[in-house]
Amino acid sequence: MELLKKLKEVGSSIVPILVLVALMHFFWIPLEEGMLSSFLIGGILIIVGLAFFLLGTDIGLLPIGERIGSASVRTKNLLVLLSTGLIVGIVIILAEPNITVLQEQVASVNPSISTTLMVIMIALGVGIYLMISLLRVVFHIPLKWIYLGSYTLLFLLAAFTSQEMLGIAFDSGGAATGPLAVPFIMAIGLGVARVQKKQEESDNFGYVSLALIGPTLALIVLGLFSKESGTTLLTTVSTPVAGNFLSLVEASVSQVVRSLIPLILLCVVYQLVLLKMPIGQLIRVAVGFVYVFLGLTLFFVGVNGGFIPVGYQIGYAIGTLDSRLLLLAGLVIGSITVLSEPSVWVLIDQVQDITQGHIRKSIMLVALAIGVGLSGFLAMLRVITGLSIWYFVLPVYAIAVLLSFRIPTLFVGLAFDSGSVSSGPMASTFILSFAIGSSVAVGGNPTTDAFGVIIFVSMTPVVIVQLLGLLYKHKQAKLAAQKGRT
Amino acid sequence: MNSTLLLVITESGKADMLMSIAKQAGSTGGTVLNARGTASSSLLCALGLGDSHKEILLTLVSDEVKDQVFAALSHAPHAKGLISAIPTMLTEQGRDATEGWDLVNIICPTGYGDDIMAAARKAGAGGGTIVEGRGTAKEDDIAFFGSTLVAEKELVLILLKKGLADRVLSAVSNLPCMQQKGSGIAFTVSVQAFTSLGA
Repeated sequence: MELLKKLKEVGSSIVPILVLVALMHFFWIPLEEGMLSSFLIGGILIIVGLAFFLLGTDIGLLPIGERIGSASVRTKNLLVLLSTGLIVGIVIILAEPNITVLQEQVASVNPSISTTLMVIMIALGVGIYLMISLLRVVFHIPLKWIYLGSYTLLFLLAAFTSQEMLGIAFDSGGAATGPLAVPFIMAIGLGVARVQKKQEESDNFGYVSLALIGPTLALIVLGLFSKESGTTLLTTVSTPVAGNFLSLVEASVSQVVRSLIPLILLCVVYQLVLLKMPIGQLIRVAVGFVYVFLGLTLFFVGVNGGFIPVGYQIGYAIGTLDSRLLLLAGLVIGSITVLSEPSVWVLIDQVQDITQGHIRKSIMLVALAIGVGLSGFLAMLRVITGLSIWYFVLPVYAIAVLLSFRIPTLFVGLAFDSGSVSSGPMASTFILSFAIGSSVAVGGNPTTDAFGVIIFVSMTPVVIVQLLGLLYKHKQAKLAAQKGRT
Repeated sequence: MNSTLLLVITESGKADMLMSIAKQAGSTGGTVLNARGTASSSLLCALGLGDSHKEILLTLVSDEVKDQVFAALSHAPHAKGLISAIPTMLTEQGRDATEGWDLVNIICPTGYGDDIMAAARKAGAGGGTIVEGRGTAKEDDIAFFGSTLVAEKELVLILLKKGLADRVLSAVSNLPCMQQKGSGIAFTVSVQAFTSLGA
C-alpha cells in the first residue's frame, strides 16, 4: 500500500539522524536529561507526518496544481495564464509556513523592519517570477539566459542595498521555497508543459529556482529604498526547550490551518470558474488536503519539540569542545538532514518520472547529500572565522551560472531546482539551530554568522547536480562513440 | 503468421525483470508503461489509500512461442499482478465464446478515471488500472504561440468476466460527467487467456 511504502521510504531517510544523535549521546556528548527521548519522539512524529504529507501532495496538491496549470494554458489567453502565475505566486507565499517562521525570526532579530511590507514584497517577487517562468516556457527561452540575467542584476543591486537587508533577502528565497510552495509550483509547471505537443523535459524544471530568485531580488530592491536603521541587532538568542509536544500541537494546528485556507480558497475559485472537475476527483483532492494538513502538523510538532532544541544543544556542545570538530559535524549533519527534507522527496520522485527512470532516485539523493554536506562544512567555516557571506555566495553562483552553459539543458533547471528544494523546513530548523548553537559556543555573533546558512544549503547542490550533468554528458558521448565504432 | 499481444500488469519496478523472462522464453521485445492501480474497495479509494504505482508490460509475440512466454511469465517469481493474452486477429472461437474474460478500455479526459472506476465498481468490477496519455492532434488543432496544445487523456483498463463487461460499459456511459459530447470512448477486447501472477 502506498502509505506503508511512503512510511518505509521516509523512515529510512530519517532513522540515520536518529541513530547518529543517539550514538553521539551515548559515546561522546551526553545530552541533557530527557532530551534524547523527546528527540526520538520528534523523529517518529516527523516520519509519520512526512508520509502523510507526501500522500496528500500525491492525491491532492499535485493533481489540482497540474489541472490549474493546464486549464490556464487551454484558455489560449496569455492574460489568463499570466494572471494565474501572479495570483498563484502571491497566494502560495501567504500560505507557506516557512515564510511565517522567517517573519517571526526577522521580527525578533530586527524590529525596525516592517514584516508586513516584507511579506508583500516576497509574495510579489514570487508572483512576478512565476509569470516569467510561464512566459519562458511559452516562448521557449532557455533557462540559462534567465539565470544569467537575474543573478547579474541581483549581485549588481546587492552591492548597493543595505547590508542588514542582504542576509534576510538571501534567506527569504530559501524560505519561500518551502514544503507547500514547492509541490504546488512544480505541479503548475508540469500542467503547463503537459498540454504542449512539443514537450521538452527541461520545460518541467526551473520554476522552483526562479521562485527563489524572485523574493531575493524583491527584498534587495526594498533594501535600496530603506535607510540603514542603525539599530543594534539583538545578539542574544533564547535557548529552545525540548519536550512539551502537547502544548505545541495547538500552535502547529493553527499555523497549518492559517496556511492552508488561502490555498484552498484559490483551488475552490479555480474549480468553480475553470476546472469543473467531476465529483470523484474533487473528493480525492479534498482528502489529499486533509492528509497534507495532518502531515504538516505532525511534522512541525516533531521539529519544534525535538529537532530544534537538540540541534542547538549539539552545536553548542561541539563548539565548546573544539571548534575544529564543527567542520566535520557540519559535513555529516548537512549530508544527512537533506535526506529528510519533504520537498526533496517530491522533486526526486518527479525527476525519476519525467526522465523515465534515467536519473534514478539513489543518484540524486547521493548528489544532494554531498552538496548539502559541503554546505554544512562551509557554513561552519563561516561560524568559526566570521568571514563575510560574499566570499561564499558570489563565487559559487558564478560557477553555477557558467556551468549552466556547458551541460545538457535538462540539468540546468534540475540543478537550480534541487538547490532550492534542499533548503526546506529541515534546513531552517535543525541546521539553523545547530549553527546558532555552535556560533554561541565559539563566541561569535549568531545573527551575522549563523543566519545565511539557508542560502548555503541551497547553493552547493546546484553545482553538484550540474557536475552530475557534465558526467552524464560525457557518458552519453562515450556511448555514442562506441556505437559509432561498431 | 498470427501474433498475440501479451498484456502484463504488475507492481512498479517489476516490468524489466518480467521482460527479461519473456525474452528468454522467446519474446523479442516489449514496451513498459507507467500506470496507477485503483483499489477494489470504494472506501480505500475515497481515502486515497488504495492507489498503487503499477507498470504495464506490452509484448507482441508470434503464436508459436505464445504459450511458452505466457507460461514463463505466469510462473515468474516475486511478481504480483495479472497477465492476459489478446489475439491480434479475431478467430471464430474468440468471437463466440461466452466464457472467459474481456478487457474493457475506456479513454476519457484526465481526472475522470476515478469517477469511472467508482461507477464500474458499482456495476461489479474489481480493481482497474489507469494509464496517462495524450490525445493525438485532430485537424482543428489549437495552437498557442507556436506550440500545439494537446488533450490530456486517461486510459482505464478493467479486466472482467464475460457478461459483466456490458453492465460496466453502460454504467460508465450513464455517468453524469460522461454525458457531454466528446467525453471519451469505450470498447472491449476479447481476451484469449488470463491468469493472476503471484497469487
